Amino acid sequence: MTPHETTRPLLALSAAGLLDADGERRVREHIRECPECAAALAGLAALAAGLSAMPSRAPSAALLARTQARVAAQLAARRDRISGTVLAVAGCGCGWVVSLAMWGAWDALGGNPALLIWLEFSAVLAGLTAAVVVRRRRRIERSLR
Amino acid sequence: MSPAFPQQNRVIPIGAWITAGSLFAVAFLVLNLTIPGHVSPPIQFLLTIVVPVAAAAYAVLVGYIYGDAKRRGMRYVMWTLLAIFLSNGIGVILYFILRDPLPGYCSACGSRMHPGYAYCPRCGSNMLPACGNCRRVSQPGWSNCAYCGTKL
Amino acid sequence: MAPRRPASWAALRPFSAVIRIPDAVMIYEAAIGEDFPVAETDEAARLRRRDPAALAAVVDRYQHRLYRYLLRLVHEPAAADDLFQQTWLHAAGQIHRYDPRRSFDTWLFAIAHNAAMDLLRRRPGESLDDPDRGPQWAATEPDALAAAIASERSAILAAEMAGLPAVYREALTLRFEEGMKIEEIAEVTHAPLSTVKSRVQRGLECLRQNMAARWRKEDLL
Repeated sequence: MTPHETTRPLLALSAAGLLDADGERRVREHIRECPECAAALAGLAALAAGLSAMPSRAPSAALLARTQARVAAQLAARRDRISGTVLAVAGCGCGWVVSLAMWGAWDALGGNPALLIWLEFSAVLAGLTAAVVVRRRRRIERSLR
Repeated sequence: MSPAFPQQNRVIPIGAWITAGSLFAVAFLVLNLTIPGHVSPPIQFLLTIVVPVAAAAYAVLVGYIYGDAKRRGMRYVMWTLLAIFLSNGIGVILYFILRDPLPGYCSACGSRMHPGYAYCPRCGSNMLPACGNCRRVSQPGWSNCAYCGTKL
Repeated sequence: MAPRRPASWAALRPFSAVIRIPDAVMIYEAAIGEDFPVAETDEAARLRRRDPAALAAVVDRYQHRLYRYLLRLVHEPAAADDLFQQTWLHAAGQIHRYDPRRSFDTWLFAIAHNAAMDLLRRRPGESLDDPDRGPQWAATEPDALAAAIASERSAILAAEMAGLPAVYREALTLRFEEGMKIEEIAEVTHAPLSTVKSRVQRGLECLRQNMAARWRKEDLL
């Protein structure tokens, strides 16, 4: 390949500042002899300079506010979820201790199967409540979509 | 004009703290009077401390549920009663699983709004990416609106 | 053991200063934004802890550069708006994966790159592959004068950029507008170093060739 063809691809790289010292030297040597490549290099360099100074449009302030609000909301939702989980576990633990204590007291005072019945009933009630609330929520979400 | 943020009110009502305090005192006294003699000292110590603390904590938690459900616009009376009467803390767990999200705020006018709406109900500014035609919320990966079919 | 008071509302309070609407501004200026790398370990630590104020500050600092990059890739401001929000939400969600010893810029721009590529992939007519053959070398007359004029008409340059294939556009934007090194561009675009170099080189040549072709038709005087 002629030196002309080997240095041709280097011209753009030189304009972009991506050549090592060796490549730069070869390019400079070549353009001393070849006006065509010299002109091309000048053109490429001007392009590179122009690319660094192009006008650009700024994001609207409303976009910035919206984005920050959404990010903040996402963080808040995450924190909410975590605190909810911790409190739920804590509530479970405390409720369990209290229930055991009540059971122990009840037992010590004579015992009564009514307590067992109440426990069953409360579990059923919990399930029903959950079903109703979840259905209602799903209906709301579906209407929002 | 900055949006009006609500005051960080107490979520837990004072009544809950009072109830917790009295529950603690009552449980402590009752246990101290009835237990000694029935069980060995270590267990006695554990019982007379742990159970009153747990009872007081449970009362505070119920109070928190009351206040939290109120600020999220849920039926707080129902949830408070559920939390109190469902045993083993089932009511508490249920509440935290099923609670509504915290209200969001419009980034333009600061009014409270549900976080999922595409436009603010008060000032109408755009909150979430929405379809240009039917104005409903569009998800990030869509090429066409799933409701009206227009190209996004 | 008392339940903690939720911090979410108190954390939103700093935003009362940030969330307001000045007039929308359109800026015509050169490379925007002094870039303070997130090198202060304090801020990187606060980001990883998901401090809302730190995140809001970072969103503010990088808004111009990020928006400019996205706009160059997708052209339409509406699409760029959506991508902007998407990128930040994704970044906020994945912030725990950010390694504070590395550059925040490349991490953020890599997320933006993925989001933009997803959008472009779904657009008909946009090809995301490197064109098979590099641009033909156009033997032109010495066009030094035309080149000088080119740098004046930078608005025309922006329009010409839009005509390039996406990968060239991106490589040129990152190299010249953002001033990124080749290694950084390789990180952002998940491409090998040699590919990045060749994209910059071919992109520049392609741009030059397009502009030369356009002016041969126009009357320069």
